[in-house]
Amino acid sequence: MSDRADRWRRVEQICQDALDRPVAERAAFLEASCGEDLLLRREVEVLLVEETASSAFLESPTGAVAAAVMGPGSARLSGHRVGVFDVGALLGAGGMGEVYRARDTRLDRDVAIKILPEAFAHDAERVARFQREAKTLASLNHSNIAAVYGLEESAGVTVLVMELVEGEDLSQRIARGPIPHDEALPIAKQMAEALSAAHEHGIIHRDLKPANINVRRDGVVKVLDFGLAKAMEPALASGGHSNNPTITTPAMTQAGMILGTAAYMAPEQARGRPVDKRADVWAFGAVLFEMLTGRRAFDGEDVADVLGAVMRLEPDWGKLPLDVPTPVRTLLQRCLVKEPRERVSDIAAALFVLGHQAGATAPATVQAPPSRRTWWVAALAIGAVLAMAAVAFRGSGPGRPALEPVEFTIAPPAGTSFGGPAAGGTGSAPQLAVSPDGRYVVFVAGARSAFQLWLRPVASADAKLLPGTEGSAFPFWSPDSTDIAFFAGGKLKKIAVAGGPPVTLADARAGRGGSWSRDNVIVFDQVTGAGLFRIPSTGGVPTAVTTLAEGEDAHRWPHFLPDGQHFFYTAVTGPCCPAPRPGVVKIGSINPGEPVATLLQADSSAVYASGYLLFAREQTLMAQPFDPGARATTGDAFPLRERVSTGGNRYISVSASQDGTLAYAPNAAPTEQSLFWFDRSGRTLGTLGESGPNATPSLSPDEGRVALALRTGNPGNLDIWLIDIARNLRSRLTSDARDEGSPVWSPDGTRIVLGSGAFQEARPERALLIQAPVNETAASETLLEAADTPTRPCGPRQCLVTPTDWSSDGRFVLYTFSGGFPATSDIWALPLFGDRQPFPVADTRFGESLGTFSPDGRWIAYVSDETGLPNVYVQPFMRAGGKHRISVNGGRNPHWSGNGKELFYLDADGAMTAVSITTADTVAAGLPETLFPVATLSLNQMFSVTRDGQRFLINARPPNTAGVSPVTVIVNWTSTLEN
Amino acid sequence: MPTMASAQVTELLHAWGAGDDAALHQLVPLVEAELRRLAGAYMARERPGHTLQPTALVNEAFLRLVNAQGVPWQGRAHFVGIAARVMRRVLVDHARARGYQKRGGGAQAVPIEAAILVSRAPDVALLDLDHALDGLAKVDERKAKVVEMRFFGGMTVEETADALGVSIDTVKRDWRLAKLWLLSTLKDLPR
Repeated sequence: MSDRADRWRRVEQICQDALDRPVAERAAFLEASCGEDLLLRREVEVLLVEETASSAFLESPTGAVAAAVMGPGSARLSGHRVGVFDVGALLGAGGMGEVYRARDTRLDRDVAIKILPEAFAHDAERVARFQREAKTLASLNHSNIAAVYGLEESAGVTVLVMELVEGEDLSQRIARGPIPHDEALPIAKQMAEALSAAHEHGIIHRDLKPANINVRRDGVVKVLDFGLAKAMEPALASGGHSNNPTITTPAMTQAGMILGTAAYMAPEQARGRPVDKRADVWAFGAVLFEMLTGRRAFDGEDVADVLGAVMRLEPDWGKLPLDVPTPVRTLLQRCLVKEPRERVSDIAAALFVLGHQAGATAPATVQAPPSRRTWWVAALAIGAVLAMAAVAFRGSGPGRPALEPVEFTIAPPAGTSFGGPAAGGTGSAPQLAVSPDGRYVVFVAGARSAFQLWLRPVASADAKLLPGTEGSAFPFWSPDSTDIAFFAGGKLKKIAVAGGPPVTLADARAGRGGSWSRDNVIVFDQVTGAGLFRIPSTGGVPTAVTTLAEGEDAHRWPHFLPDGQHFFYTAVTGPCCPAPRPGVVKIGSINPGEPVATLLQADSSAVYASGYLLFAREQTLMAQPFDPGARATTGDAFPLRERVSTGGNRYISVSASQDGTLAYAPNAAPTEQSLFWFDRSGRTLGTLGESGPNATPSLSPDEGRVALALRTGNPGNLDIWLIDIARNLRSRLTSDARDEGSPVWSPDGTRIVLGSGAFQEARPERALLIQAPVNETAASETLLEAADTPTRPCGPRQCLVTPTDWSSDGRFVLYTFSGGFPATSDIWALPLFGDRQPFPVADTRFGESLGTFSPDGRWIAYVSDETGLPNVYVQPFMRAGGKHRISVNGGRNPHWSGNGKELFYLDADGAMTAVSITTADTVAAGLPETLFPVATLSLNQMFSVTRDGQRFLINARPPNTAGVSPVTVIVNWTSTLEN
Repeated sequence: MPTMASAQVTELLHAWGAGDDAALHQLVPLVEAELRRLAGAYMARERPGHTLQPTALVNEAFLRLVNAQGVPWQGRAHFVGIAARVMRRVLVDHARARGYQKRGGGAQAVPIEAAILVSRAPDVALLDLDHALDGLAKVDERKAKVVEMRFFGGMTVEETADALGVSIDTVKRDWRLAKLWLLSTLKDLPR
């Protein structure tokens, strides 16, 4: 017998025996069976992890497989008679049965019949439901919709009788290549007509795709299979899947879910959420994109890939042919917005645009703006349409723009994202400014650190890079719209729109905003720790115009009122970033001696535009009537848009021209990490706000507070902050100039031990372990100063000590000792009694880290990279005994549940993983169970878990991050307010 | 209307059972033709009320092909095994012919739609499965046969045990381990 066969026998035997044992006993069994042969154990484990998935694997009836694979081309009904139908040629086959041409001998007409799958026909409840649906479908009478005549039971076969549509379906047409836009747009328009008619009847297609769209030879488009996807759905389509880790989304388990369908599925549909007509709008966009490009908007190797693209990726807009009209591009972009609320909400929008583009019949007249209460909803619906129309008007001819509100979006130029130099907590709020004449939007975009100014004419689709604006931030316009002022490299500069190099006007190390008056005075934020300064727009010596009041740290974001004398500005109190408090917007004056007036409290700065004050409150863009002459509000604030981006520095991504063009950035998904609560299924339960990229959230023993390290100041250093969970209040625990991190609570919650860093270049100090009292009445105490060892120097900036846990009896602190030459990390314990001599717990030549005590203190779980990958191990603490590997597919950051019966960690893919574990005299662990994936910027993200093992506090990216929202531009925005 | 003489098939079966491999080669196309016809018939619901039971599919083929009384039980079991192999071949050939190319092979990968639909199993492309099954045969031939008979042939555990001349328990254990092996292998295929 060959070695290989022999090996396989052993693997099989152990695997079979393990399968015969309860899950909880398997780890111990494997330990005993495989001994030190880790490779053998690994081979067994890779088989065992498939156990859950295998229960359904290969269990489908062969006949079903045969039917799927052999499909049409075999014998068929053609030439037979089924009930009243003389069956003719096979027209097609799909997941929901074959379609034949047939003659209805009763009514003497040609029809298409769809033979429904047996599984369906045998389900009386489904048939009954389908009968009801079919009635509704039959009520749809539209020239672009293939009519459904009814459902018939004939000779034991269930048959759906439909209008016979002859011609080519779009998938066949697209297979020959992209469709020129002058041909594609009329097709799209008819698709939109069909959807519009159906939506009016409350019928959603749910499965719009090229294969469902027929184009007759005379050019008439027929949309097939309206509502069938829903009607044919099994009643219990969902459920049970969450236990199966191989199923990536609930939607995959639903009937008829195949590759060809997934590509057109809206993200909410792919997630198995309830869908409405906006799902059809999405599919419409996806089909139109495919018509124009010959490529799927979202594609992939398999269903999971495709769904991943649908949920996470943007279509490759660069694939759109150059001659596709801008309004159509914009329409496409608005149809394919992942978030349904941001998407074109009514297919009428498409109809309007395509009506113009396709030169077909005139679109329905635009209705008068609806009541204020619903206007923004309507704006989403019709805004896109009008935007394109108005932009087209502006671009094509003279005359005044239409007075209807008009909306379009600006995406960051290819390869860039919105943003700006990130220092000082600028955050992700896009920086933008509309020219006073409403003709341009200037914005900041770039890749990584190279941010520059881009100029986008409102009437054109293309933004132009302004040369010489590298590293620029917070642009603002001259009143005559000829120049743009901005901050770059610690200077205030200006650049002419017409061209030419930037001119430096003044030093401006802070550079948090400026404003240019009609009298050519620029007021700007020059240095932190002082008020605002003014300077002539031609340059000169800055002079102060505001002074900091008591408690104020900075004045930012000046914004001139039309009189050129007064300006809004934001007074910032306290540190900006970890705990934003409402800012105070004040009104200052360039006239010496004029008193400052306080206007309002807001979560952002404020701007004035067309009789309104615009500002953010809880990330909602608010508008409030404002009389610039009286410098007072004249009415109540109301929400203008649901979401607006604001920075931690109180920048608000909104700007408006004098003639009513408003640009704003919807609150983009933050790219920074935040603290999120998740349940075991990965559902987000809440957030505790932004955090740094690698901050360790440490839950207090009573689970009422979180300690974590946050970077504050500029450039900033790390300090420990405490968050009161119930009230989401932040308070500072440490405030010195050193970097502190990795807080760990004492078991009684009165003290925190933390690592004090020594990697800062400016502070050549040794790493320390410090014990800080939480109640602040006592002084901090240095527990340990990192010392050289014979093999490892540990001087300043050479090594680090990181506390990771505190034993429940309060006697030991575990810490990771890392750095040195050769670089490695080991786990040490520091006794808090006796001579306090630290001793190594795990210090092999491999890297060990992140030790954590079992609740009874007898074991530690930790991470070792001895296999080449970080994995979680458990070993006895201060007792003899070997280590037990717990994770299979890599593991980091182990945490015990409060009862010590479960270990949680993040696997190699960053998925939260649970393992049941028993620790009596020896360790026995179950098979790892994947709970949910964690979106993160790095694999080293940290988390805490509640004692009951039910809730996870994770420093992660926001779940379902859908990418950066485009900047939205609304022309004639005030006309939406007139009612 | 049988497409071939029962006697001919029975004879071939006997010959194959007696160790004549050439008989198998003659048998395969006959079985294949019959299975094609049957699969087509199922597709078209020519026999209303007939469920898509895999066992029925294969047994149906068997009954149509041979006069059951003329075949010893052992021969029948072997025959069903052959039918399973042929079934696999027919399906895979179909998949290939219809451009269901393996990933990266130019055409798009098409998962076994029915497999997702019916069993919530991972979307394993048929060709991938076929390929993995070849790999399993190299490691453990019997387990590959078990999968072939159970999945492609739609045979019950009992029928499979009969055909292979092993115990029911062995088939069950082979089946569960083979599935684990295939899943872990399919997971490693390049995507």
